[in-house]
Amino acid sequence: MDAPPAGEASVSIRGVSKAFGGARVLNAIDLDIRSGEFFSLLGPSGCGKTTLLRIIGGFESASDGAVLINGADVTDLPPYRRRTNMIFQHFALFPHLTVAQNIAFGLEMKRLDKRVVAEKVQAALDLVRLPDYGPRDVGKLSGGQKQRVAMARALINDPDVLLLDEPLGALDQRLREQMQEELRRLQRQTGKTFIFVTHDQSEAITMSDRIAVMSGGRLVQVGTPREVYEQPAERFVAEFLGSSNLIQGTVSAVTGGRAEVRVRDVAIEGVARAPLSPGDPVVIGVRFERVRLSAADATPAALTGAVTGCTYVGATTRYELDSPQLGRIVAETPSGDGPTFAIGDTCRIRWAAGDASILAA
Amino acid sequence: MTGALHSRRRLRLALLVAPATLWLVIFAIVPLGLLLVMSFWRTTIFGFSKELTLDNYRTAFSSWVYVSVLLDAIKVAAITTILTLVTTYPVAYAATRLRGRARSLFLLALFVPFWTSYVVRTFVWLPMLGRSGFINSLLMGLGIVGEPLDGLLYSQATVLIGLVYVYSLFMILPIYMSLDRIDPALLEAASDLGARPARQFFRVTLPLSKPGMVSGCIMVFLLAAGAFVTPQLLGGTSGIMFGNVIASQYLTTSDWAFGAALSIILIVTIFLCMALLGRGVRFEQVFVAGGH
Repeated sequence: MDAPPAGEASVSIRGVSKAFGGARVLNAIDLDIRSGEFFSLLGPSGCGKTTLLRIIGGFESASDGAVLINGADVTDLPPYRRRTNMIFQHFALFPHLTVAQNIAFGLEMKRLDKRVVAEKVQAALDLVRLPDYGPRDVGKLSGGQKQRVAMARALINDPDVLLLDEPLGALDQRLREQMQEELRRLQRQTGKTFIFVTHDQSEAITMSDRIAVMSGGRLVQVGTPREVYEQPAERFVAEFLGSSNLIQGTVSAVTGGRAEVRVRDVAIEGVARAPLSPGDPVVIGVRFERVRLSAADATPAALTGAVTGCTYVGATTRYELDSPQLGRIVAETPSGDGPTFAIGDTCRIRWAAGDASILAA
Repeated sequence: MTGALHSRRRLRLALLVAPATLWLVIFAIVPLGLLLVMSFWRTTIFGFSKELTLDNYRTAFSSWVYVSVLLDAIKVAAITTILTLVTTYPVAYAATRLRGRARSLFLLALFVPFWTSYVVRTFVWLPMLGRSGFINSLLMGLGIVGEPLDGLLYSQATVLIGLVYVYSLFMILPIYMSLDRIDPALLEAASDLGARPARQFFRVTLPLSKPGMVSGCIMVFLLAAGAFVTPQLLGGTSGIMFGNVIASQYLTTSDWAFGAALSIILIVTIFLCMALLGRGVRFEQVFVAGGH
């Protein structure tokens, strides 16, 4: 496993709940975010990730629980008294101010000397690689430039924590990828704690040190990208990150961390991701790309399937199979090497036992 | 081929702008042109003498009376504008802080008085400020004054109160609209960057509502500079404004040509005032929705 970067808890969330009217948006969230880590809150829209971010920033108040930043309780502090800064979804740059005035805003509020402010603004502009943009009108900037100005405006205040509310959502695909790298670079360069809200799983996986997967107002799983991807704790995670085959069955035996599941007439072994006991209904999650296909042979009790569909995706080829033992199975294999199959072929289906996650149904 | 297409497109464009152009011609250009021409005529007992002459302008500027009344009107209009701005801004701001039904009711309450005529809205101040009016009764009832105050009506102050009241909606609406357009995320951003509520207001809300303020000020200034009903009703003899002088040329002395000249003088003066004030303010910012 990737070791998460060492560091003290930068942000601690203790039993935070939030209800709007009668609707519960966050349910007793407990979370520690370490100093200097790039931490993502990942989940579908409406899962509560943005609300949690806004509670950390002070824009919403928690109905219950506490928020600590560097050990100090900030639960009741307004945003202007917190050492956090936010990158808003549409950047929220002040349209009546120039780029430099936007960036200087936070320092101006602290009534710093004008010369010091000018120097720091220039340093911030250099940091985001827009050295000559100070006098420009923010209305005439491109999406990527706005993003950079928003970063400079936040980072110039030397916040303990930088909060990012889907800041790449407003950008087109190519720019998104550039800005992902840019954000990572800025995070490494400044060593700040970044809390990044996104609904894009690949973005979270490629950028984060750790990810908290959220659903329906609760934390489903917290871990490194590799952990949440390869060891999903719940069916939701297996479905939300990447693409998995989900095979229904019933637990027949549990030994240590492993479990045996009866699916139709066959027994399948996998890693138990939750406490299980025999008789529990479960799903076996196997990622498309972990399913290996080979030509059918005479091995007794082998899993087999007939190819019913074949899609060339570029780097990979996606096969759909109909298996008498498992039902519908999808396998995604590298296009370059290995055997290829045609519709109607019968294949042998295999995967490593470690790649099968036994999850509560 | 392309020529035909081109001319067809031109024709369509012409048809599209035709109604607006017609409106401008009928309601703005023709009356203004007529006024301008008439201001160079002379009124005689047989009607107009249509020889062009500068006599009317000479009369207007030969005596200090007209110039001083004109300057007074500009002064009153300027004070009215400032007072209206200061008193209605909080109202417009309050409206944007309300949500849903409360906001609709608040706006409705602002509008209702304006469904009645301008004259009626002016008249309501008579029972309010008169000798036996509401304010005097209240003051006497509370024992603050022994006998009714006379100065409440028929003074410059009364005229100002009346003008501010009568034109307040023309200020509130544009300010309300420009406040309402401000993205709430901008205030959150200001707060995030360390601005307390007061500084959020002065550094973000106030500057971003400038287009609304400018457009409200222009409206109120224009209307107040030419006002004549309110000053006459509430100001008595002290309330003579330039508008009254013009009105009397048409209504009392029937010297239309001279009235036209005075009107032109007023229009030019207002235009110069606005050009002076409006430097640094882009007009498209004021009149086009979403100007920033």
